[in-house]
Amino acid sequence: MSDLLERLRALRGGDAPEVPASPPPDAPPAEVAAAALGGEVVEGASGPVVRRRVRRPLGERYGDATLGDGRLHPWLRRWASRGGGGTPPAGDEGSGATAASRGGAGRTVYFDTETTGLAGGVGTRAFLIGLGWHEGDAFVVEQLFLPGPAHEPAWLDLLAPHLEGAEAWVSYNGGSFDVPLVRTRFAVHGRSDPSVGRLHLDLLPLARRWWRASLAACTLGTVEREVLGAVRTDADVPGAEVPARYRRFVQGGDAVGLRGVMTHNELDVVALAAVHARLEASFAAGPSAPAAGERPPFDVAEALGVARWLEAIGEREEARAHYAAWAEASPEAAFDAGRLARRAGDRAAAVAAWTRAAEAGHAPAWVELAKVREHAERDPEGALAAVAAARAAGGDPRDDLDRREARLRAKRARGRS
Amino acid sequence: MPGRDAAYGAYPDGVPAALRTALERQGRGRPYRHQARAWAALDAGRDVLLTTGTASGKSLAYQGPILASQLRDPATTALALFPTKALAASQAEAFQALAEATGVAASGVVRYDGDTPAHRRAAARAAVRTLVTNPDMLHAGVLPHHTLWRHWLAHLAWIVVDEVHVYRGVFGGHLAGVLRRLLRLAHAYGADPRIVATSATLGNPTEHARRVLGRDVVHVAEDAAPKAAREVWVARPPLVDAALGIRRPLLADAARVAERLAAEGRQTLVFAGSRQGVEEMVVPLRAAGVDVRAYRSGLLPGERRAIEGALRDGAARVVVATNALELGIDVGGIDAVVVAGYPGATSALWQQLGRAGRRDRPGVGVVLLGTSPLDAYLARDPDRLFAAPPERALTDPDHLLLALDHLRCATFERPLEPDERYGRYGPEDVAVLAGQMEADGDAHRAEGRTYWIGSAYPAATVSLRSAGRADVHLEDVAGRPVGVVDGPSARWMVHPGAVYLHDGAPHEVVELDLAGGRAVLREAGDEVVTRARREREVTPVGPPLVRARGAARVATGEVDVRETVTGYRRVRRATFETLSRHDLDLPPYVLRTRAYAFGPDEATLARLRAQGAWTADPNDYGPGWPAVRREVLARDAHRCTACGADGAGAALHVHHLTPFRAFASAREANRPENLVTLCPACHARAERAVRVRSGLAGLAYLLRSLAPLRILADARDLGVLAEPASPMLDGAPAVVAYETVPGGVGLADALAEDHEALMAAAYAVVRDCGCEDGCPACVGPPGEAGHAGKAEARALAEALS
Repeated sequence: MSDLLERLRALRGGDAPEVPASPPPDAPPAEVAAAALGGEVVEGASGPVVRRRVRRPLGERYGDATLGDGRLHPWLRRWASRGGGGTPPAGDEGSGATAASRGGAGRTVYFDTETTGLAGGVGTRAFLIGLGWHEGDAFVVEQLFLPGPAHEPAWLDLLAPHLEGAEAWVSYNGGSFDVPLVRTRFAVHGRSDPSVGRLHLDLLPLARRWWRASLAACTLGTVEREVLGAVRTDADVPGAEVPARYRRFVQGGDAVGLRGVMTHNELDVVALAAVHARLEASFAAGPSAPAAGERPPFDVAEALGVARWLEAIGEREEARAHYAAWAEASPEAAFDAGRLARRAGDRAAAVAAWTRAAEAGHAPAWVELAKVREHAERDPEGALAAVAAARAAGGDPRDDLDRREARLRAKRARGRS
Repeated sequence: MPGRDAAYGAYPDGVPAALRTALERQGRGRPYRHQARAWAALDAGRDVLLTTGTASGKSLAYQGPILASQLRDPATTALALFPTKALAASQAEAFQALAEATGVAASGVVRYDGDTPAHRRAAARAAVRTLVTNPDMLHAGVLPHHTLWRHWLAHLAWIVVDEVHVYRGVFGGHLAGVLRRLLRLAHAYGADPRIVATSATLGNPTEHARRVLGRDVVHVAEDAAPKAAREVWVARPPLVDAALGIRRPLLADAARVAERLAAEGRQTLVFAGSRQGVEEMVVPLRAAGVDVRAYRSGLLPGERRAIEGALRDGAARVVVATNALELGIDVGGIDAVVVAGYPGATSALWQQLGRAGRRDRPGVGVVLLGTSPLDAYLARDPDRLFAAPPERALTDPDHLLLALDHLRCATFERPLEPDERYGRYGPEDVAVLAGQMEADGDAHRAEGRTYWIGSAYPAATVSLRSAGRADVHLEDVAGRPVGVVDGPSARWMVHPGAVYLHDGAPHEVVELDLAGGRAVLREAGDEVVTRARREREVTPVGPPLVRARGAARVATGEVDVRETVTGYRRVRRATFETLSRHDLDLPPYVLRTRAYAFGPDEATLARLRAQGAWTADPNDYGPGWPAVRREVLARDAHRCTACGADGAGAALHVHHLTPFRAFASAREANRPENLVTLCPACHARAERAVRVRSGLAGLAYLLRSLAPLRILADARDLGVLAEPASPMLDGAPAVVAYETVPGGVGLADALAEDHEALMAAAYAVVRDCGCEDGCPACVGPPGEAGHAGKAEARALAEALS
């Protein structure tokens, strides 16, 4: 052992476990990985990259969901162009990076990365990226595997045309993880930012709005199992184990442990397309009625999620239609239908919706009815009755029922005198 | 202390007109001579260190050149590092004001630290021209994300390191590492920044700057700012009990002084050493009807700012502060400053006293010294404060553990190139360390480069305030986390059976897994506490360097400090009664570090013995001893009663359970029931376990306090013990001081250099102390040094001084 190492061990103190020196790693041949993972070696300028491609017929389903056609609904397009639900771009180029909304039907690329860690920062690398797109009657997944950190430029050479050739990127939690990571990798090698001029649709914040109320968690795994009804047959690789498996390959040439990672990544990309298709379907399912046979049934919670999101992106009329379609089933939906009707100046529709909600015991709806009766209908007596009903329905203290009631009593007294 | 008038210089040619006008408008049309010199040296392409006094306008020396270069080229960027967030906030405001007045966008002066909310960070990075932050944020928040800062890095022309004296010991070595990483990345992006540093006065300013900054600096020391005349009083609270050396409580007296100064109409600033000290002083002052405000850690930034403003405009009449206010925060001149307790270094003292006095009115400073030997030494002759050379700052930028820490971070930030160096480590050494990273599973070497492949974020595991500690995580029986203890402390704080207080709630330790870094605790009743039995052993690694220095032999060298927790007592909390004793079998904690040891040479020892001033010897047990000894050996079957060794390797010893000198007669001491057979190793351990009540122990007590006399150091930096038979000095008695940082940073060797001065001070303290048999201000209270401890310590110190 060198003097320096001996000294280092001594300074690390009695606590330091002896670190067994790892066997000198054989240069990890890309061929080993290609053979184990079922891919081909592509020689780039800075070394080899392993590429694997899988085609699925578009008729194939993922669980109960189709794989869609890759087209982005204009609403999703608008949402993505505004930064996709509050995930700011990570760099210093401002929001312009994802803001360019362009018409036309450019390609949508679904992607997911497997990384050396979750910490972020320049030292965290993606060693595998899975890219998916619709091509003719197939959904294609292409996976680019980095056989050693030294070959990253070659890996970027193969990756860049996919990312730069897309009009829109679709990811799951890419806003805070995959996209900044990819941008960092391009920046480290002095390349231009591939996200500039591209839309990025992060499905995670949408999944949260759609299914938060009915799912314990909104991870991609939970959504595909509970919403899409997709069950992965192979034993899945726990995410926490992924970095160690890659290290074992890089340092010891063991590529077998990466097979599961490849499959996991491939299915994640397919699941992205399926989740996206499911979101598009919920727009169609919305205002008409609950569609029978959906799994899980397109339910009130999801419909409310969709309607609230529509409202957030400024589609008030659409949102109102969604709320109204579910007013029968849900006092909450009825209340919101009334709220948007009032906002649109349609008092009669608002009163009708609120009355429906109020009769179902919705206290805020009673409060709204009290306001209408007091100010528009000049009916303090009726308003007082509504306040009493709100109270009976467990009225919200923020509505300040006491003050409203006192004021109404005074009005009634004045009206009588 | 007389005041002085300002001496002015001239701004360099070529200062942009906008900046010159702005400075004139701020009343700074002419620079002080030191500001002009610093600016000129920077313009000449040199790196600069300024060590002028408090409120001498050091910030202009970097703000000016930075703004001038940004006016010439708006793309120019700068970094300003401050050791605390409060100081960064205050300096950023001043910088923004000058930038605004100059026509450089004030929005480009960006504070970016732990207080910056996540949603504002992207905007801050986009706007930044001058980054104002602290080393921890640079280390963990900026460098590991350097691609987000690439425009700033590519144009980095200036690095400001404020208060460089703060970066000593481990912190200094870490700062050196962070700056090396910053410069490595800046060079990769094509930038080559200049460095401007400021510091309090130091004994070794340029040497310290070279170590921390890695550059040779032009040192600007002459302070040309005007200074008001000052009166400085040095006092100690009066004695309450002369024999025991007990004095009136310091903080109460400091409060009385402050009350009196305030009553005379003086705006008064009181420095109380700690946050508790601040609270303790505020209470009596409030009770006396004084309008007093507390300035300490834990205040919100707005609250601090309000007090600073109130000091400047005179609205605050009395402020009690911790040293949070000591570091360069602008509060203007104050009429009177009270320093309650020696702040540990003359530079800190002068920074605090430097607040006293305004241009038009002389200031008053009152230094109240406390009860430590160092305070006593300084109080005896205040010239020891006024005329003393400033302390040296010590650090080791090439400390091996820190080098590995920062190489890990550097590899994360950018692969190591084959010819890469780190400080004094050349490419071959760096390759060895890269090999260690690879063995740790964090790096991969290919084609000569070293790439980070670990899943960790190394900067998050490297704290700039510590070196190489493995923490032990505490959890309850259900596996929920309870807290963290550092590895070395874990052995005595959370050994199996220990009662550990967490948030005031007693927990009993069920299991300690040192290898796994965890301990399992369960809640316990509060009747019982535990006391660990710790043994420390200092053994040299290779022969120490031993020199004769007067009557002393002085050794320095690398050592292993082996600390073993051998057992513990369960003690009833209410009565301190020992309920039971338990043995433990824990592996020792081994600290490889550097030590300084000294003891009397043989002739001196003989002379002390002849004078009756050395009673710690284990020999001369009376005329009957050989017979008693044989009897005990036979009784114990010629085996060590502790470990069972049979004396084949080394002669067996017979040990007094209660020390010999504690008895009135040899006959009583030598009763067989007070004697046991032990092998030499177990005997040495047993002797250490009984505290050596001797002059040696008294001298160790003195050294513990006097160590910071010539160097910047505090109590946590050193371990000091008295060893009756130290292997540092071939088994002769010695006082041993070792550094608590693995590997050391140079404190032990500096103490050895200052040996004579330390002995002289130690002797002066004991000689001049009026107590009878030891007190906190000399060799420790009687319980510490014990039987004749003071007289022996005095004789020993006199002989060695």
